[in-house]
Amino acid sequence: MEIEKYLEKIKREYLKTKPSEGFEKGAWQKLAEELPEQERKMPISFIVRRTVLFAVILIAFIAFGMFTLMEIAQASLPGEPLYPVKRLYENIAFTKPSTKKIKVERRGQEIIDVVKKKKEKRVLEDSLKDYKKSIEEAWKKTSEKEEEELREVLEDHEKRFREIIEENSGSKDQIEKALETIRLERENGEVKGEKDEEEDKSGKGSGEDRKDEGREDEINIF
Amino acid sequence: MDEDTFKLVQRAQKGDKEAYGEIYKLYQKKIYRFSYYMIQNQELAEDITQNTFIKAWRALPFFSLNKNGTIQAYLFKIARNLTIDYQRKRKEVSLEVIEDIMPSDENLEEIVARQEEQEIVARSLKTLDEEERQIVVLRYFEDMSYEEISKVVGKNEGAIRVRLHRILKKLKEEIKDYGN
Repeated sequence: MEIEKYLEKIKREYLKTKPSEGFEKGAWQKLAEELPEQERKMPISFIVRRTVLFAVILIAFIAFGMFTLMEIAQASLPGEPLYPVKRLYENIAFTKPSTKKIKVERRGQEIIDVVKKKKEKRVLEDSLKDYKKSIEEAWKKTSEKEEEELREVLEDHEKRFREIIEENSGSKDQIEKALETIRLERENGEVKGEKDEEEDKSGKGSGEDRKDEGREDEINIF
Repeated sequence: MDEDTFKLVQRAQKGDKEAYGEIYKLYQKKIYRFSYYMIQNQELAEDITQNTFIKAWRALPFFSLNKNGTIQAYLFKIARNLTIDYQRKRKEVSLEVIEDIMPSDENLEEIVARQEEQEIVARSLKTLDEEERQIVVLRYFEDMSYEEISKVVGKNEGAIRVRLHRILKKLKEEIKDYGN
């Protein structure tokens, strides 16, 4: 027997099923008398569900908006409206000492971008200040490995700064200052490294002491 | 859902009992049949039918075609939920209690004859599980669309199609055995 015929046969039997006669005739009358008032107000569970759903959508929307804003802000430069957002993001995302190198990389890149985009001199000077500050921060409490990485970053910056001097002679003075900063900071780093070694040998001095001593011969060029 | 039924639903949503009476007439037997094959008890199936229409009436102002599908799917969904509730409770009720609520004033021969007919259907579907039985009944006996069935069972149309394909395969095997 084919399945269609089989189902057709069962269907015929199924459709013969009826309620009792008494029910078929009088059920509506009985039901009509019993029908309660219709619910005109939304059930609380429905309102709660809707509110929760609305809140979730709102939170997702805000989170998406913030994420997009953060992403766009990453390309901003000093003096631009979204730059504070970029710095805020960095303060949240790069809190570990090992991530200070990233801040230095970013500040250095900003100097290059500011020069390339020919922004105002004031903006470039602010960028240089931030760059110097980020290097100073990065030298604090660094491990040997981190120091080595930082030196590599500074070497890379040095090369790139020299390249842009050739392309943008108008910003030569400012970029020279940046190069001077790199030179001094690298020297500081080396002095610090030597002192660390000496102190390690003699067993004197705490980490904090070393940090302060390392800054003694720092020259403020700005 | 045809336009006349849609108008009846709209009137009933505003509290028109007469319109709801028309809806009741259209779907009473269908809901009864469905409930009966889920719980195999006439009186309980009648109770479930009545309760289905009471529940549907109460929540009718919030009925929407987009959310609930057709009024038929809406009613079947309520009936299905009530039969599931009943089956859950039945596990806790003793056999004695069930015997007590069986109808006693009917002609015994009539009951036996009807039960024999119904057993043919029940036997044919006995190899299927509860949900499979519901899908077969809704699709092949009540001629409902996949969209309506998906609203009743709470699964997407694709899943219903796949399930039905498997059910038919299973039933084909059954028929083979039956033929042998």
